[in-house]
Amino acid sequence: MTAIAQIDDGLIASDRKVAYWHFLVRDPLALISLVWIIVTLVAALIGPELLGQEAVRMSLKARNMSPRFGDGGWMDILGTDSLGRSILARIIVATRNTLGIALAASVSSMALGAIIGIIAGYVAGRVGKIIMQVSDIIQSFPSMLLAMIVLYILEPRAFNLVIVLAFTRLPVYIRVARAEVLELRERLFVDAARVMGSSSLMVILRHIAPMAAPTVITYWTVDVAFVMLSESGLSFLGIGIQPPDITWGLMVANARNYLEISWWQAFFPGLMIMLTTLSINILSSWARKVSDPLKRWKFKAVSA
Amino acid sequence: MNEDTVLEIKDLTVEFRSGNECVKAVNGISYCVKAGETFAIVGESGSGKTVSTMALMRLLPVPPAVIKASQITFKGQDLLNMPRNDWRHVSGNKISMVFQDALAALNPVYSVGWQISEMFRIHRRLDRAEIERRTVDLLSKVGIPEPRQRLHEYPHQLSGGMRQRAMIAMAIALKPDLLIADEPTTALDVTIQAQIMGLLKDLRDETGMSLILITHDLGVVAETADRVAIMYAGRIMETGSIRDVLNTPTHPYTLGLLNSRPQAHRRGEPLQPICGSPPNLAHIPSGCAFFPRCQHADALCREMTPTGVEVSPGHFVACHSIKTRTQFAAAKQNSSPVPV
Amino acid sequence: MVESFFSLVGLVFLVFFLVRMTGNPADLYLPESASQQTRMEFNQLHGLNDPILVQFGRFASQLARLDLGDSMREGRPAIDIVTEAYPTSLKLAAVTMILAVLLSILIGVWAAYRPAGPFDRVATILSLGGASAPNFWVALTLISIFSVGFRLLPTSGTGGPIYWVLPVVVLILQPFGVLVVVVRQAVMTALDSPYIRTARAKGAREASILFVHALRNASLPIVTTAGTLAIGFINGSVIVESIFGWPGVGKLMIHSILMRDFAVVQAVVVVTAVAIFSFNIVIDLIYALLDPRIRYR
Repeated sequence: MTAIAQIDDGLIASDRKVAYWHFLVRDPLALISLVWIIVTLVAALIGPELLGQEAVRMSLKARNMSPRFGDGGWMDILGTDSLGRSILARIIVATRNTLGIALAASVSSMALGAIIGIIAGYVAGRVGKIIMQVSDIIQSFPSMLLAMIVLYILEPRAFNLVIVLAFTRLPVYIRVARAEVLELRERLFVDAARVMGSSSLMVILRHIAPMAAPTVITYWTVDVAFVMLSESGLSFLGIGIQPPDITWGLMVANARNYLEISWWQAFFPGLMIMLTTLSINILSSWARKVSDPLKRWKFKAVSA
Repeated sequence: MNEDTVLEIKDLTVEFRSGNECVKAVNGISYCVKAGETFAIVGESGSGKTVSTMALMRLLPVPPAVIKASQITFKGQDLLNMPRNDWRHVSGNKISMVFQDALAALNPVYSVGWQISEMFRIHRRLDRAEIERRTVDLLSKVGIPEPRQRLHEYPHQLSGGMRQRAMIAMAIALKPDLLIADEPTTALDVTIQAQIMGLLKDLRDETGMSLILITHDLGVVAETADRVAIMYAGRIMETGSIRDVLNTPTHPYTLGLLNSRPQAHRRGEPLQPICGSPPNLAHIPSGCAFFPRCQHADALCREMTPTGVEVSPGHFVACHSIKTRTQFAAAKQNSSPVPV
Repeated sequence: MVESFFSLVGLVFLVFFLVRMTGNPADLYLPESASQQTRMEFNQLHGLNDPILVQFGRFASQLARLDLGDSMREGRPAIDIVTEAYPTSLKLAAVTMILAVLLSILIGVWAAYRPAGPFDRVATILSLGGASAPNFWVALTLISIFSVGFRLLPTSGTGGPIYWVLPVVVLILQPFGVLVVVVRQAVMTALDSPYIRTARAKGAREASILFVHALRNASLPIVTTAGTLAIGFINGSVIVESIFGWPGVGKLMIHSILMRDFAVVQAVVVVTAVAIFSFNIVIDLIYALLDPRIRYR
């Protein structure tokens, strides 16, 4: 408690890490979220190797079994699906695709969007305007309709899914990055760098990009969850991931017809989606609260 | 206690607590205001002059603010412990306030007429036609030309002086007994300042209301006020009638203030500011708050907080060094704690 | 405004070309055993044999005459099919959005008034939940509980108010979650402003201070967000309409894409583009109404 009370903004880097750790520990919700995300990342990394066999092992005898601790041991703890496969195993294995697609799409759209946005903001003029126009067109249309059309042309595969998702999220990053650049461009240090002979590219890389980064990354944290939900939705509609690949969204889609007899088939994969996006949102909200010096003061006042 | 005392405040303290810090913005002040008089509170930023009236008007967020007083009475009624609902009927109705920056203090999305007539809607039962008529009257009373047109205009459409007049119209709509004006002219040009102060004076003469005028400008005070209190670091240093305080200033701070003004007859001479800066209100030392900057200070000033000494009838000064200074060789030894 | 018009026009033409790339409709509408001859005739009938630019020219001139072609599936004008489906989606969207705005204002204002109080916590939880919950999962779970389990509500279909309960509940989660945060933030900012202090000094009631003085000033960001959400509604409603079997635009869209009914897909895009464009104009008008500073620039 006293450690927090003594914190003020003149922290050196190592103190700051300790400070963040203190804040994290004190907020149980954020802590749980972090743990959950780590668990899912681990599942994504080693899941398919560990449980790949289990996830595809069919058994006519064990079809549509409710959650139990039966013959199959731990594997049946979430029940089985219509082909007798362990839902727990499938969920763990599906983590890789679900997280992978969400991360791939969001990171690529962040990177590309930030670059385009920085260009739009820095160069401004007609180029900037045209970029924003196109960006607006993409943004003004409901992304799901767009995604449906595009995926139907390109045929749904993981790779195409990533492209489509990244594409529909581009405008947000472009807008955010551009706004940051517009604001930073007017600041003196940019002029100073120019005067001292830095080329435009150098100015961007060295000075502007790092300062715009925090805001862009903040948007990314919110965006990952959104992309995960979009992918799940598309897979649910049948135009996302296709079998034999598996994601949580697809598991829910498959379970739709068995709602009356085995609700757990749809429930648990969807629950995974919910818990994971919830954790991401909680953590990103926590991170924003903590890194804002103004709000951190309130944090202090309340906890001391 | 006089029968025509409108407001009486004793030992008012306002602290702001957050975490381990405690900022004492107002540190035990007492004063009273009589009917029909203009009482000025003068001090620099941070002296607590605004905070004390905000506390009175219940405009401070109560945690973190902590307000204590031994007495706050308005025309005999206890304000300190008055329940919220009863206070709502006093605020705006009997005691009213005018703020410094009219553009910020007026709601930008409602018309000026709407905001003024809101006073009637809150506190009176009148029909719309009557409310409109009175609002137009108010606008012309405060000197706004073409009042009917102004009714429907928005704050951003008016000039600075007009806005301040509109705020004053709002404040006097219900003919309050006491009007508190917090730096009403600070944001305005000098010529407009004079007009606004003239307006306040006229209104006061016409209705007999009392006026508390908060300002840092001694010139404004000299023209308009009857009595004045000089505040520093949350305490009242000197108080008395205008004539007493301005002609025979006694407290070293008051002397410093008066001396530091640019004056026509001392043209060409360097300005004489008061050395040093105001104290950190989170760590107020014991003893006199002015001690570090005072030329007449001695050891006693550091130890003991001075209480008010009546140097002449109605003229109180909180200073230890009076007795040792030649100006008041014949000052009495009484220490009456509070001017009544 | 002119720019956004051209944006949407650009979008429509873009979709025209994209849709054509989804494959040959003949494969879907004619039996597999159909001969080459039959296919040729089919294509000729629907003008699909002509070079793409000719097709585009035809489309553009028809568009100018507000003729969006005929549905391949049903043989009726595409525009009729779309305009039949739109009211269903619009009604659902309108009801959900109005409810979302009302609820979020009620809860958000109170949360702003008493930060860290119980309402604030509820608001935070609801908004996080709303933003995180996959709507199809919520829909299926609710159906499991209320339709299958308790047999209280129908699983699908349109009809009386009872058919609306689940679709609206599912659809409202996301906009409510987003709006609550926006309302809270905007109202908190407004409450910190000097004019609120003036209103208090005037003796105004707390309710008036919150809902008259503060809320109106907070309304711009709220309207902006509500507007963006309303447009994004079409996304969510695709899933809800699909699950609950409502014959709206979302369901129509999926079907038309899967059935390669070009005319209908184009018609949906055109009508949606027009709707979005008009909607943005309405939002601009609302801005002017709410904030006189914008009006009297």
